[in-house]
Amino acid sequence: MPRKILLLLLFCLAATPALAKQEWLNVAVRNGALRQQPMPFGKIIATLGYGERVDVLAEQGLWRKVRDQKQGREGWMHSASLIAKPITLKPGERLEGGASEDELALGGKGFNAQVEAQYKARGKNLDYASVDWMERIQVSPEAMREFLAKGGLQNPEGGNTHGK
Amino acid sequence: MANKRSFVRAVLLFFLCAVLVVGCKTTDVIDGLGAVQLGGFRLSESQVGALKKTAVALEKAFTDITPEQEYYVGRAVGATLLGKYSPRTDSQTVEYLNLVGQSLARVSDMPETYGGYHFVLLEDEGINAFAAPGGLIFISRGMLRCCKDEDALAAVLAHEIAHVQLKHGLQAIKTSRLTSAFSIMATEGAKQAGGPQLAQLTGIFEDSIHDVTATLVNSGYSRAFEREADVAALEILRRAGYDQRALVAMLGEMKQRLNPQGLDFAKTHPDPADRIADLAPQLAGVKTPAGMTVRQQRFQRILGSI
Repeated sequence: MPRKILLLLLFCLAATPALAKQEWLNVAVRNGALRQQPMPFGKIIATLGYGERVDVLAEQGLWRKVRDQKQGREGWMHSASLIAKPITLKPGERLEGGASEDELALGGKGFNAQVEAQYKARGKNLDYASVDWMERIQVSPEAMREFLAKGGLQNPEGGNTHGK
Repeated sequence: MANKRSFVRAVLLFFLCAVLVVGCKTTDVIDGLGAVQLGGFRLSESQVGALKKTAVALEKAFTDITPEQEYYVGRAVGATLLGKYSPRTDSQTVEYLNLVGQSLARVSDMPETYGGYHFVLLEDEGINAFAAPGGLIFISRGMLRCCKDEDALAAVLAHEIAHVQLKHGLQAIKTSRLTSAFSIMATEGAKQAGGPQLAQLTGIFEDSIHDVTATLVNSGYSRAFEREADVAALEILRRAGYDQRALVAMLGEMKQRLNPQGLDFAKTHPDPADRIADLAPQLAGVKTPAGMTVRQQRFQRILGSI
């Protein structure tokens, strides 16, 4: 009898390959800034889309040096903009590494554009047009640099020391 | 033999329950169970499936909401607030507010979100500021009047960014709703949602949005969440180069202006005096940073007449 319990425990240990270290991460934001330096206002080299995969090359505080799997571009991204679990699937794409059906289900599922459309149709006093307007508000890097410099705020290139 | 089988079964169930309670990587353990064969006892595929669903439901919480889902929650909360209050759309105000906001958001622990941070001023005389999940941030004219300079405005915005970063809005959603939503998502598998499932999900979405907006507008967060946001706001202000003491100055001004019977911050937030007392120990030895005069002047020029 104890042998069987032992077997069961051994099996459970063996059945957790998903705990093994995952080398790539997903971009968790729609416009993820890939920066030249690991700094909040560092120059943006490229913008990576939601769900794009990157390999992690190095770490520095809260910053990760990454290479995007598609085009091989290298730069720094903030760790809060990266996520380990698979979050999106493009049509026809399959996840590598034997992702379970539940993980697949999370890709673009749940509260999404489809649900929003239904919610809007039921809507009472919802102003989505103003939300769309609000989302289009952008500040240019030049305006930002000038604002910081004139206001005596931090070094425009992000020379502060945050992110131990 | 029967005894032996039931013993193995008991051990197996006990173990599964233990894993379920602990909740770490439950699904990984259960995933492999279809292959288990011990002493002639085997869990059927459907039993494994049922266990897996339970485990999935148990594991889900607000932390499992993907950034994309958080974005749709935030948009709906924003649409509700903007259905109630009009935004101020003149380009000078919009640009200035977003420059101050971005200078803070970029140095926070969550510099980017799925849809990004965006800031607007609401035409509302009450003293209010709201952060929808995902980074849509609103400040009322009444709140702006509590701000004597750019640093005080930055303090208000930093506090709201902190609520986003700490996902306080999402935590207002009742866990039972998320459990139901994730169960629906699990049962539909990789298929496209449609029909009754879509209607069900929309119902849950509607209730979730209600949870968040009711918390923002009526009941407010707990004092613990507000304190957490104030502490995070101080750190954001420090990193950006703003005067951390502006948060206390703003709260003092708010205390003067707040009508204790009001339906705004008076109802949804702890007494400013309590918040000031909580912050005092963290501000010992803080020095005035450079650039105050320039910031004060541009604040007056752009927002002084509003």
